[in-house]
Amino acid sequence: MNRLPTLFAGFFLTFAFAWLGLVIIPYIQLEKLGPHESDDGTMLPLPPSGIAQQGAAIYGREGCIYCHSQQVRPANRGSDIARGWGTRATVARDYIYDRTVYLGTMRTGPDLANIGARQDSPEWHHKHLYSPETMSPGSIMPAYTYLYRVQKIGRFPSPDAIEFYKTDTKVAIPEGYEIVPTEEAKQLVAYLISLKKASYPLPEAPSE
Amino acid sequence: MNFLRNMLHPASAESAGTAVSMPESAAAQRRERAAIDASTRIPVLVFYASAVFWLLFGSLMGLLSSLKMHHPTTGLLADFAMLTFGRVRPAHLNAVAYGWAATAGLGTAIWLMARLCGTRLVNPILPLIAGVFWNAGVALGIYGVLAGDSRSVEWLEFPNYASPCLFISYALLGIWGVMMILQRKPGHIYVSQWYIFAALFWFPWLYGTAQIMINFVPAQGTIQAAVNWWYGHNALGLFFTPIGLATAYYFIPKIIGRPVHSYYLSVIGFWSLAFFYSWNGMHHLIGGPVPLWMQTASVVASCMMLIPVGVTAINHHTTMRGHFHLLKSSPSLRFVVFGAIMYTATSLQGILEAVPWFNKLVHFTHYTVGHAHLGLYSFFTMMMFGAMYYIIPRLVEWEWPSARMISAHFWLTAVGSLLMFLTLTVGGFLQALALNDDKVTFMAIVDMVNPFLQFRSLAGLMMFAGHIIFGTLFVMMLLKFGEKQSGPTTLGNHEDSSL
Amino acid sequence: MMPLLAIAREIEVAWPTQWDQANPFFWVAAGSLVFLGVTAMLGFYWAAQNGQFEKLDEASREIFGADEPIGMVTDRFPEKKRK
Repeated sequence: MNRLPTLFAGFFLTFAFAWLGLVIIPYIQLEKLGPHESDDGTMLPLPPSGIAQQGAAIYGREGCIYCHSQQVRPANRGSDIARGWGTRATVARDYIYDRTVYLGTMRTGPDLANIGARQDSPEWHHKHLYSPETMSPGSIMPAYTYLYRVQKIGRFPSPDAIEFYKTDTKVAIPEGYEIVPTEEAKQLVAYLISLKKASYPLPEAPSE
Repeated sequence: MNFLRNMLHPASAESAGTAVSMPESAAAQRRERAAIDASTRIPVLVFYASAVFWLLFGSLMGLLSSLKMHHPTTGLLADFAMLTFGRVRPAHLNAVAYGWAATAGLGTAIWLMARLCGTRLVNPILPLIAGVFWNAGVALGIYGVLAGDSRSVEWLEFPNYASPCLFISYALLGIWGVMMILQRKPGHIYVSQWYIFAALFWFPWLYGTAQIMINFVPAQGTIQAAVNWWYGHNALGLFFTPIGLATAYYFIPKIIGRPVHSYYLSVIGFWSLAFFYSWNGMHHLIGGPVPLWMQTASVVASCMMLIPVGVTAINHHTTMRGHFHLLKSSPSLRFVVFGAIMYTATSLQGILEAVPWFNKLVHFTHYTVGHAHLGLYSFFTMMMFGAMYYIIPRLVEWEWPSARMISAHFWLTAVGSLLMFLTLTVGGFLQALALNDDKVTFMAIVDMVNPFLQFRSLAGLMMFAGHIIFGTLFVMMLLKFGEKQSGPTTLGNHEDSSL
Repeated sequence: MMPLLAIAREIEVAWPTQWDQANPFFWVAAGSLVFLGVTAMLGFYWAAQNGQFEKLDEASREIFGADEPIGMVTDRFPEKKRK
């Protein structure tokens, strides 16, 4: 096989074969996938709010995907459902509104596809992002202190300041100071709470 | 038309007088070989020097992210946004994959192209510009990741202002590759050239498709994930693997002075790799939200990888048979053979990981991280070290200054990478068993894996020490440091050498 | 062929409901897929018949030459030059 055209025809055919099969055909199959109208007329999945979409960008920027997946596998393909990470497996339709799909490949931390359904308190998320060890002893998650401001308390405390209990020795706040989330922290938390990918039934994925 | 005729019938190019005529005597051939090597000097050294820089930078980033996994809050670096784990880790991957591995691979490919085409470098300015663009793209991309512009798509983290640089660089190399092929001396196209041509042809297609469908005009939903892993797996299988194998198919026979045992097997290996590897990607999404038929197709194709991997392993082993004693005396051979063995190991492990019952266990664990290091480090990186030990003396016409340092480099990186593989494999497997048992709490798993991660940092430190030794050797070579050593590599020593 | 069989088997199972009405592009793509795969395999068959896989050992000797003949070891550790 010493003739270049023969070689290149081989390179082209083998590669184009897989390109069509794993890129183009899936594209045609999935590009028009739309929301599903449930019996009560709700369109599922729910479209995300603007602030949650901004938070998704923060999630991407900080590289959360390197420790947290966002996919629930079927009950026969792992313990995801048994661990309470979702009531059903996630399917392609759950991701149609994601600008970037954060499926992830690693579970150094738990799966987050359905975190908004498990933990919907913004206060908990803020405390956890500021000091993971306080909220979840033993955690090796990095603290995102740079998404928060430590500022002197003015005439009144800020309404959205995060209050740690006095017993939380992990966080040292100087007397007369308060911890206030930045816009970015609020966006990120709004995004986390919006993650409810495996909490509503779809025809192709009924709750198990 | 001339162009086309030369392409179809390289023999006629000779009569037309465009190709280099074959020298008659051994001395003339030696001069010609040295001239060909010398013609690649500047572009190859530019690629190699930047590769060594990125290797050091990338392993530092790797070490930092490894430390952060067991000491997340200690040290001054914890509160610094640019050095948070989620940014340092992709900086590590991109620095070692695109900065080190690809750059070293392309440098080696340029040198191999010149030697195998039997012609001096044509348009050396093209690969040089490509090298500049490539490094600019990598630098811009890594800065972007650290500064908070990461796309958070594994293997494609570079922001949109950096990735076109890589594409342009690669397209230039592709054009240059075609120019080289058209100037080649008549005769057979050696199997290493097939691998290099194929890699040069496939990668822009891969990279272009993935960038467009994920980052520039994002496709809807999990199509992105499918394209992501089609790209991620093919970047390994249809770019790094072909260049690594081209290196093995050239250097093993060349160093030991024995033709490859069965050229027929190497042909089978090449085409089965092209046919099956390209279908492998979706095994990264087993159980995930993409159509089941895609996962099934990839699992089948992954199992079929037994053919190319098996024939390549048999071929390299039988070529080496009776020559293993040379591992003691040849530094290049030592690295290349180690890499070839690890290619077989990592591929067989990869096939196992694609089998659904096993994938169900180890998906999402450090086991996969161990596999990735076995492939890109123990196979590809060691292969590149081997090639560089052979090529650089022939470029700078100076012999490596210290045999002891080469040995230390080999043992630190070989043992370090195997220790890293072992600790991640054992730790990852235990993690997998625990994750699949829903009665084990998540925090108990975090605690259990921790000692393995600490040991991983230690292994990484060994590898980093090896890299510093290699970096030092490289700089010493560029500066022609120390007293002249004798070896078979430099032209002057050929004449009075007994070899 | 195996991936094709897998596709054929799974199409019924994994087809989204919106896909009741046939999309012409799908058939173009699927047709091209089969065409490329079959062409690639016919190409290999042709190449084998045409003698492209013969006399391969000549090619394996391509990397040697009069200056570096078969049997010559071309790499070893450096040594201090003997005076």
